[in-house]
Parts: sequence; C-alpha cells; structure tokens
Amino acid sequence: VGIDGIRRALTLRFTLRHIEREIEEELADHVERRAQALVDAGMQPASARAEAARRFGDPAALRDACLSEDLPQWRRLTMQTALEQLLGDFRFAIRALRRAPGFTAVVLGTLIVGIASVTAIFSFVYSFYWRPLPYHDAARIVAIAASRPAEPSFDSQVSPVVASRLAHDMRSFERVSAWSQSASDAVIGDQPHDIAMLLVDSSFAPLFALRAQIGRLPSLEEYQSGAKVLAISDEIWRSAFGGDSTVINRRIHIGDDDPLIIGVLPAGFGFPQRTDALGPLPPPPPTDVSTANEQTVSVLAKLRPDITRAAAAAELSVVANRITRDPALRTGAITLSMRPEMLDRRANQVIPMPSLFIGAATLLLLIACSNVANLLLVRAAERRGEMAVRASLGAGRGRLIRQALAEMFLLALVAGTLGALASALLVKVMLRAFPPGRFPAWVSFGLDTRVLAFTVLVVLTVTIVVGLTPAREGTRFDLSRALKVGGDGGIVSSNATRAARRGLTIQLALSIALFIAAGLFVQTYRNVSRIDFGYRAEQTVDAGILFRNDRYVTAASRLQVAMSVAERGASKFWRATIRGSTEPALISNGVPAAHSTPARAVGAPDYRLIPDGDTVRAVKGYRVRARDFAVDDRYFDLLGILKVSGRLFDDKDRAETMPSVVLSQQLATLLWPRQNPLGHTLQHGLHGPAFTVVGVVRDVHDLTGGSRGYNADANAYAYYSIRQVETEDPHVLIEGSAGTVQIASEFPKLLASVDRQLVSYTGTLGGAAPVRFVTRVFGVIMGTFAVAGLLLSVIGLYGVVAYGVDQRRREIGVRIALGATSERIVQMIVSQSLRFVLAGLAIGLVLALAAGRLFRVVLFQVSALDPATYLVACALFTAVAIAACWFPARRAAGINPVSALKSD
Amino acid sequence: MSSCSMADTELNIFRESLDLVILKSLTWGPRHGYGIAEWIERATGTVLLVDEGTLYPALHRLARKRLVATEWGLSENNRRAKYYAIAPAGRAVLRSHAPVWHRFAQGIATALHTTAGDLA
Repeated sequence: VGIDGIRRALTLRFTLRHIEREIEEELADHVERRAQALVDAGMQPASARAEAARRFGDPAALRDACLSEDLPQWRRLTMQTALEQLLGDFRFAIRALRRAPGFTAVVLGTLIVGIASVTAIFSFVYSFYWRPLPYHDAARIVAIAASRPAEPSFDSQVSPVVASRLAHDMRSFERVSAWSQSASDAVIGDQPHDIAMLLVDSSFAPLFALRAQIGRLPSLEEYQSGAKVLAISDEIWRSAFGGDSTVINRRIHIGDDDPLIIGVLPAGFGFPQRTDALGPLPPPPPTDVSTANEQTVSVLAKLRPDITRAAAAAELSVVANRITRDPALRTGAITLSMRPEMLDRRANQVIPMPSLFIGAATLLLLIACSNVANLLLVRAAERRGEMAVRASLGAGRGRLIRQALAEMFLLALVAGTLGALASALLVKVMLRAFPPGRFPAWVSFGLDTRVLAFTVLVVLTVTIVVGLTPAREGTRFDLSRALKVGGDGGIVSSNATRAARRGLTIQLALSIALFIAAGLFVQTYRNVSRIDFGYRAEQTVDAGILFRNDRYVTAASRLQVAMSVAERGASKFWRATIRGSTEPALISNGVPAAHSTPARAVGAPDYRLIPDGDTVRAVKGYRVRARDFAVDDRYFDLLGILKVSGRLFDDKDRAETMPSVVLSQQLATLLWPRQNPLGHTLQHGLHGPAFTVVGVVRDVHDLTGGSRGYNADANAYAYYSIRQVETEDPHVLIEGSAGTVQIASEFPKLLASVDRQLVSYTGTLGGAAPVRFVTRVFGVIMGTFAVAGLLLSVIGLYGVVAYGVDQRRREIGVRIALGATSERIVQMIVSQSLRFVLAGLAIGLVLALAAGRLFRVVLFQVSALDPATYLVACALFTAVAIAACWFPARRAAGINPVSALKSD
Repeated sequence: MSSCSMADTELNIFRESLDLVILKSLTWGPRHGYGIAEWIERATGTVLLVDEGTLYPALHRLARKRLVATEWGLSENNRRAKYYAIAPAGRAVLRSHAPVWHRFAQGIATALHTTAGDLA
C-alpha cells in the first residue's frame, strides 16, 4: 500500500500508461462505431466486427504512432502540472500549518532544538576526537626529552649541541629540528602586541611541510646566520595588518629588534600552542662548547616511515649513552626519551570516551525525532475528519498524501534553515562558556558544516519518513464512518493516541537516561573544578638554573646562587615588574639526605622511612612513597599550602640547629596513625639523620585525566629545610599576576643580575589546569544535552496531553455537565497522563543503570549509581511532567459543556 | 509550419491533404474521430483513408501542432468519446492552404488527363 500510494502521490495524473489507455480507448471506440454502422447496414455482428477491424488497420502500430505524436505535449503538460500541483500543495501546506500554530510551533521548536544541539555537540566532539591534527604526518612526529638521573621527570630541553648530534647520529629519524619559544612585546603600527615567537632551525619547515601562504619562510642562509627576519601568523596578518599583502618587507618592532617580515604563515598553524611569528633560531657559537651549552632548545624529530617507535627508542638510548660519554660535550649524565608529540597532546587531554558523547547525541536525535513523530501522529488523527471531507469531495488518496508530504517538507525546510542558524548561535554561546585562549592549538572549535549537513539530513529524512506514516494512517479510513459527526472519532483516534503515548514513553525513558548521565558528568566537572589541590600555582613560574660550568661545584655554592636570585627577586623593583604579591621561594627535588653518604655509597639508595628510629616499624619505600622536597621558609606561603599543626620553617632552621621536617597530612597519618606526629622523629634511610617533625601541612593533590580516568590523590610529602639538607638543584619559584609567560621572559634578566653566564629554564606548576579545562568543556556539552533532552520531553509531553484533552472535549463536557468539579477533572487528566510518564521513568532508570556501567571510568568522585542524581532526575521529571499535564488539564476543566457538546 | 510548404517529400503530400481535409471536416463543429472519418468518406466520395486508423495519428499530430483542440465528452448514445474542434490556428492554415491545394490538385489532374506528349 505504502509504496504504491507514494508513487501515485509523486507521479502525476498524466502517466504514460494513462495516455496509452486513452488512445486505445479512442481507437477501440472508432472500431466499435464502424461495426455498429455495418450492423445497422444489415451485416451480421461477427462479420461486422471483423470487417471494421480490417478496415481500421493495425491498432498497435496506430497506437504507437499516436503516442509518438502525443509524447512531447505530454511531457510539457506533466512538467507544468507538476509545478502547478507542487505550488498548490505548498500553498495548501502553508494554510494548513497556519491554521495550527501550536502544532507548527511545537514541531519547529523540537526540530530546531534537536538540530542545533546535536550539531553543536557533534562539532565539539569531532574537533576533539577526530579532526585530523593540523600537522603533516602528525603520528610520526616525536618530541625528545632529556632527563638526569637525579631528577627523573624533568627537562624537555637540551643543548643545541645535543640536538645537532641527534640530527647527525640518529638513523631512525628522517629529520631533527630544534626550536624554542619566547614571548615578546611587539609594537605593530602604534599598537603594543604580546607576541608568541617560535624560533626554529632550518629543518622545522620541511618537518611540518610548512609553507608560507604569501611571501616565504626564512632561507637556509638566513637560518644559518640567524637573520632578523620572520614570518607572521595569519591571525596577526589579518588583525594587525588587515590582511594587506604589502606587509612583506615591512618591519615590526619586537623587543630590541626590528625584524623584517618576509612571509605569512598558513592559517591555523600554531606550535606548540599559539604562534604569532616564526623566525630563525639564533645559531649557537660553534667553537666554544661551554657557552653553547648555555643555550637550550627543544627538539622534535620525525620518524622514518618504516621505523617503529620501539626501534627508534632503542637507538636513542644508544646515542644518549654516546653523548653522555663524549667529554667534549660536557652534558653530564642524561638519558633521552621520546614521546609522540602530537598524539600525546590529544590523548592527554580528552576524556577517553567519544562514544559517550556520540551515544548521547544519538539519543537526543532519537528523542527529537520521536517527539516529532508523536506530534505528527496526533495531528494525523486530529485531521481524520478533514481528510474524510476532502476525500468525499473527490481528492484522491495520492493527493492527500502528497499534501501531507508537502507539509512535512515545508516544516523540515524551515526547521533545517532555522536549526542551522540556531546551531551556529549555540556554538558561539558554548564557546563563550569557556575562557578564551585556553584551547589546545590543535582544537579549532567552530560549527562543522559537514556535521551540520549530516544532522539536518538525518532530521529531515526522519521527519519526512515518519511524517508519511501518520499521513498514510490518516488517509486510510472508512469514509462513511469518519464522516459520522461525533460518531466514533474517539475510537479511531484513540489508536493514534495510544501509539503517541507509546512513543512518548520511550522518549521519556531516553531523556531521563540522558539526563542522569549528564547529571553524573556535570557533577564530575563540579567535583574536578572543586578539587582543593592544597596549593595555588596558576601564576607561578618554576625557574631552574643550569649550573653547567665548573664554577659552581658544591651544592652550597649553587644554593647560594639560588638564594641570591630569590633575594633579588624579592626586591620592590622586580616585584613591581611582575606584579608579585609574595617573595620568591626556593625548592629542590631529590633525596635530602645530608649525611646519608654511606648508604648511597653501598649501592642502591635506602628509601626506607624510619619513624622514631624504630627500624622494626621502618616503612619500606614501596609501602609509603613519600616525595621529598627541600624548601625554604617562604615556600608554603608562596604556594598557599596551609599549616595544620606545629610550625613551618623559619630562621631557627639552620644548618647547625636541630634537623626538622614538615609532613603532609597524608604522610603524617601513614606514619603515625591516630597520634600527634609533632615531636616524633623521622629517619631517612638506615644511616640518615633523624629529623624531628615540627609541623604538618595540608595535602597537595595532583590531577590527571586521560585514558585511565581521573585521579586526584593526595601525595605523601616530606618537606625539609633547604638549609639543613644537601640540595641537588635548587629552583626558584616566582609568583606574579603579570602572568607566567611574562615572568618566564623576565627571569633571565633577574638571573643575569647575579651571574651573567648562567642560563635558566622555566616551566609552570599546576598541571591540573588543562585537565580541569577539558572537563569543563565536556561538562558544558553534557549540560547542553541534559537541558535539550528535558526541553524536548516537556514539549512532547505537553503536545500529547494537550491533544488528548482536545479529543475528549465532549466526554469532559459531559462530565462537567453531570457535576464534576474542575479539581476532579484536573486530577483525572493529570493522573491518567502520569501513568505513562511513570512507565517511561521506570524504563529510563533501568537504561541509566545499564549505561552507568559503561561510563564509570569518566566519572570523578561520583558513583555511576549516585542515588542523589537518580532522585533529582526522577523528581525533576515528575514535576515537569505534572506541569506539562497540568496546563492542558486546566484548560479542560474550563471547558464549557454546552459548546463542547455542540461542536463536532 | 514548415510541414505546410509545398517543397516537402511525397509522403507529406498525402499527409498535408489529409490534414486539410480533417480541418475542413471540423469547420461545422467538433466531431469525434469516427465522425470525421464518416465525413471524409462522404465528402470525398472515395476511399481517401486506405486504413481508417491512419486518421488517428493525423489527428494527434494536429493536436500537437495545436491546430485542433481535444476534449473528452459524451457522444449521442451516451458513450465516452474524444472530440476534436478546430482551433483558430487550424482555421488560419485551412484558409491559407486551401487555395494552394486547389491549384496543386488542379495541376496534377490536368497533367494526368493530358494526352499530348509534346505540350509546346
């Protein structure tokens, strides 16, 4: 029935077959008339028919001859009629939709909400998970990191000498490129700009297959001489130069230089995050190795296509050994490692479940579509009478279906257009929910047109296909029955209502499951953003000093330098420069075992922590993994680590006074559970000195995201006074509201004021920020889901209940006439509607429980079965459901029985 | 109206003549196909249509050229029949081509009746 109906609706009145039949009829008519004439003239009927046929000729050939004459005209006519009918259908559809403004608004609303939210969400998820990284051969690019045995987790930078040795020695690498980054103040025109400079060597551009979009990149000679030339980013070109192509050969003022602009980088290029300008790395002085070591660069390499990462890593360790042993390089003991630079950036930051978001988006799409299907079903039932009247007036079924289709198409068209606009808007609104400039360079959020096209297509297809079902239902009827005024309209339409309610139950189930999932995720975000890390480091720079020459051999002399730097950093002038509110502090990693040399000499360091000298109770290193820090008096203050009990370090803690230790709460509890740790002693290794516990501070947490879910455990820390332990490599921590980039660029000047020959490297603390940020992004996405789902459910519920009330006007009128109070009517309708709402709720809870098992891993500090979330979701949906039923119920209670009985 | 020119092939001579006769048959009002065939039979007194059916491709051709209009209606004995009526364009063709045909037919007839081999 369906296919035939659709075909009849689509092909027009003048089918070819139709024309053929007409011709055949005409020809047959002629033969019959001739036969009749012959009979009238006295011939026998049988021979008259034979004679008539003989005189007529070959009917098939004649029919074909006629047909070939008719075809051109038929074609023209078909087109014309089709066009006229189409216009007519659309005019009719517009009128019909105008007559039902409520229905139209609700369907359009549903479609627009559906298209906009699904598109926006898909766009975001796509940019996070699947958009190809904006770098050529991203998977083969690795970053080289150097580390020293003493500080196992540091240093992404090496000296240029190491970089060139890597380029020379490593067979596994196709290319090795050194780069470094700096932030400078630039003046372009009259405007000051904060410029992120990327300084690279000549291998960088080929490694990334980077080309200038206009002009050129630095030439080999310019790279070798470190010429003052640069290529500016597309963004700077457009914002500061208005996209003027005469920008080439102009100069801009950066720092103390006036480099020449030679080209414009392609749009969207940023490495490792933002890049405003790219220029040649200053070349190392080739002769003097010791000064060459003062400069450090980051190193990128591109693996040969046929080399596995493991093979490259093996070669790298061999080369690292060779570099270490080469006395000419003076690098000291280093190990080199590599990590997939580009892939890591993505993997470290995203929540490892694209399927979660895709699943949620699909659910939302389903909800929107089922909502529309419900409404269409209800409307089809509602229009049975109208259809019957039109059918009785001669409109064919095909025509009725065609008009229903026209309505769907019109709705879909308007919804598609508005939905596209709305999704663009939604993406803008969502972007505004995030702080600017925090996106990783590879994420370029924006409305994805392919995603939009896909969503619109899905929604429209579903609308039209689903819209056709009610149209077919609505046109299949028994004319006389449907026309019987007020007869069994109720019975017929109750089928439609039942189908609509079934759909609505499923839809409610889906949206409550979605809501619960979103609720859990939003709580995860809240929990992540509320983690008290126990310290604040957003504005703190961790500055290390490279003591590579022979002038600072002893730990004491190195500490002295660091202390001098910190002291100068405490000056009014410096703090004004970086807008620092606290004085710089010192920290050093490493084992603070001033007198533990014997243990070290024996072999493996003794990591045992021995509380109160009680070797029996000695807590093995693997049981309590305390991290040891040597810090100065200002450390806790600078990082805002709060004291819990006892005291922090002060002037009393000097080399010659009693060795003291400050514990983190975690460590204190591990070592002395249910005791006051103050006054107890802690020995580090069997031969270490005993440190007296003088204070306890709050725990410090780390937050990691990534593929294994969230982790924000407290760490067990032991803090020693930097004056009482042998320090390895003191760092200066500097805090200031000028921003970490600014502080990092200023620090070398501070260091130079102590010793001009020293070189520094800087980093930031607080690695939790990106994880928190990404969690926030996804929190916003899931929140959007939840709200959209709830909205759609309310729309659907309202629509169905309102329709049900409309259908029962007569019945309700009778009830009122028989004395039912309006409270009674409201109660009746609400309680009847709640029956299927509760069914949806029950199914939804089961769905949510099942889904919760799947996404447990992305939750943080909230159970997948969190009762509060479930309760809130149930309560909210019930409340909203009651509201959605209550309004139509109120209207029903206000029905005037007289007019209700008269109508229909 | 190129098919009305006299320079056409021999096939078109017959076609043209049939077209003109059909148009002429309709000058007294709409007829259905059989009615036209009857009129031609009576009016020409000869079997102009070797096969009566050949009338119909001609009718459809005239309809395509909009020289006649068509409409389905009920015939005298209440049967459905397709009626043809001459259109204004058809009248114009009839008016302009009839004299040409007179001369043409005359010429052919004269030629065919002549007995002298040498007309000079």
